[in-house]
Order: sequence, then structure tokens, then C-alpha cells
Amino acid sequence: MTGRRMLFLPLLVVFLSACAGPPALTPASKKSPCSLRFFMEGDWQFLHRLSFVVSGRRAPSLLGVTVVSSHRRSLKTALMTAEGVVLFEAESGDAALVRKSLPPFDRPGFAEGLMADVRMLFLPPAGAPFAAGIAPDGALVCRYRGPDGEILDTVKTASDRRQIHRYDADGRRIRTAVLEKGAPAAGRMVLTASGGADYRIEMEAVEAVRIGE
Amino acid sequence: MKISKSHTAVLLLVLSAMLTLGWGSTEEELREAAAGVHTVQAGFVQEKHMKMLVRPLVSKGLFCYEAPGSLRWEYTDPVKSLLLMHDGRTRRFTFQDGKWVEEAGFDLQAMQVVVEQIAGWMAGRFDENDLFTARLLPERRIRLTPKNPAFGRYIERIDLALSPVPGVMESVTLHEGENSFTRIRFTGTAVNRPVPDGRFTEVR
Repeated sequence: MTGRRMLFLPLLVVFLSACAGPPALTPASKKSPCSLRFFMEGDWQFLHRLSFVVSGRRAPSLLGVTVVSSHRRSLKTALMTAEGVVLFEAESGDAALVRKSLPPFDRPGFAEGLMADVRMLFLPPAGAPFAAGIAPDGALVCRYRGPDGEILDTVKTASDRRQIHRYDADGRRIRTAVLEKGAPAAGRMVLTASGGADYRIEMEAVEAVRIGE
Repeated sequence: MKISKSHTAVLLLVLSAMLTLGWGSTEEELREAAAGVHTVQAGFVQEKHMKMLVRPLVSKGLFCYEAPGSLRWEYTDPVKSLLLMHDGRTRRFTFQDGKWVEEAGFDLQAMQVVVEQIAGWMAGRFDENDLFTARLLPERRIRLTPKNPAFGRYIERIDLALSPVPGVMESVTLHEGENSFTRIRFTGTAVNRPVPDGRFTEVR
């Protein structure tokens, strides 16, 4: 079974339960799910090869570079062609500060949506978790509050896979990220949008540089 | 989601710039020097510099050209990808899951339009380029600036550095604005060396 298929199978399972809202949690008997390491600490520069699949259509692959600081909670990202032409560049603050956005990445809402997706993948949620436990499917879940009533779960499934689930204020799951071991510094990440959006971002780690070393 | 016509045009302009051969202090000299070049093969190192980057992104690859319009532009590290132009057709591939995959959705029609310009570049006819205005600078340098302001959103200018050796390009630098530029340096350039069969048609 290829790595990609192995990623999509758990995604399928995830979709089947995506409409029910955040699952109820029962207390974990052993160590807290929130002690699991989901995000890399420190300052990093990542390079990923990425593909957008929009409404089932795969766009030409691009390179994505992300510079992240977990201490400052800062995030800068750029999308470029293999030849190095930058099509999109932005950094995350209170709002997305867009430095460059060329077609097709200049559509209204694209920058804010992409930066929220990137933040979900690379930065731990702000604030302490407000709940943790075991979901009905056996997954270990650590639950955080996000902006605008959102909820974000970091999930370690019963089959030992890492996922991140984002729910809107109505309890609809709007993003599901599946992370291979070592991501984002190694392996693949697949982020799938649902609940009104219809796209998928597949990211394959190419390079991870620890800044300051 | 579709990469725009402008983007593909820029891409191919850059690639064709790599093929700008010959040297001289006038456009006429460039044209004369280019006339004797039938094939060019080289390696390249591409450095992407951006203000946001702590370290530049470095890519390596190979390119191969044969007159009048066949091109192989291949990235070998760290991300494999390949562009083939031959017989008026342009194809793009990426290496995924251990095999080459042809990418759909690329604006091939626009690419072919620009490929047609390559012959002009190869002949040293900078002044006849539809997309850029060329200016010869001292020390075998050529500066290209976009004629269409919309193009300037992608590339502000391109600086070509020609080698003293006829048919050899030292570097191409694409300036995208104050925050970003890409420099491609060529190594081991061989001019008029026979090109192995299938270089412009086979993905391997």
C-alpha cells in the first residue's frame, strides 16, 4: 500500500464522522493526550512540495516555504513555482499581511484562508487546552478554543496516526489535517477543507532548517 | 486553479534567456555569434533569495538545447521536475511517488506562444522580443524590462550575464521586486556537443 493511500484511508473514516461536531470525550486513564507532541518548537524554515486539489481538479505542483517561530507565534509563507517565481507571499499577524498575490492566488479570502490553514499545521493553538480525553472511536484528543468560537482538536487515532481537526462555531468540521510521522519536517501532510469549502492541500516535506543553528 | 498565461510566459522567457548565446558589444555581434550555436548543454544552480528566508533556497539541475527550438529543463535536486519542449509541444512533469507524472492544467498554449520566441533569442534578436525590452550594458550584460506593466508584477527585470566565451551564459538573475530575486548560475557549459537521442522527448 502506498503512502498516499495510507493517508487517504483514515481521511475517509474521518469524513464519515465529520458532520457530528466535536466528539464527546471521556477522561483518559493514562497520560494526558495534551502531552503528545504535535508541533515543532523553536524557529524553523520549511520547504514543501505542495499540490492544491480544488473541486477534484489537481493544479500544477508548487513549492511552499514557511518560516515559523513558535515562541513569537509568527508565520511567513510563500508559494512559488519550481522555477522560483513567487506567486503568493504573506505573513500572519492579527490579520494576514499580504506582500504579493498573483493569479490565481489573488481571489478575495484566499490569503486569510491559506494563512489560517498554514497556522493550523505549523503553530500550536494559542492558550491552554480546555478539554482532553478519549473520543468514542478510541482517539486521544486534546481540545483548544480557537478564534470566533472555533474548536481545534489535536488527535492521535487508535491506529496511532496524528490528525488535527478544526470545527466552526456551529460544530461543523471545516478542516481535517492528517500528518505523517515527522511532519512538518518530514513526510506528508494532507489538509482537507469541508463544510462549504472543497479543496485539499497535499504537502510533502523537502527541507527543514532550524534557524539559529 | 490555473497558472496564468503571464506566469507561463515568464517561465519560458526565463528558460529561453538561458539559451541566449553568444557575446558581443552590439546586437549585431550577438546575432552573428548565436548563428553558429546548434546545441548547448549545462548544469545550473538556482538560488532563490527572499527577505523572509533565513537561508536561500538552492536547486540544482540540467538543461539542454538544440536548435531550432528543442529544450530540456530539468531540476534534479531537491525537487525533481522536468520541462520538455519539442516539435512545438511543451510538456511538464513532476516526480511523485517514484515516477514521473505529467502535469495537467498548465497553460500549454501560452507556453507554446512563448516558445516561438526562443528562435529569436537564439538568433540574438533581443530587440524583436514581444515581451521585454533589451538594453545592452557594459561587461557583456543585458537588461530586460517588461514591455507590459502587467508582466512587471511577475518579473521586474532580468539581468543576463554573458561569458567571454561565445555561446556561454554565466548567469541569469530575475528580479521580482525589492523582496525577492532568483539567480541561476551555469556550470560546465558545452556548446555544439552532440545531444543524445530522446533528450527532448523521453522522460528519464
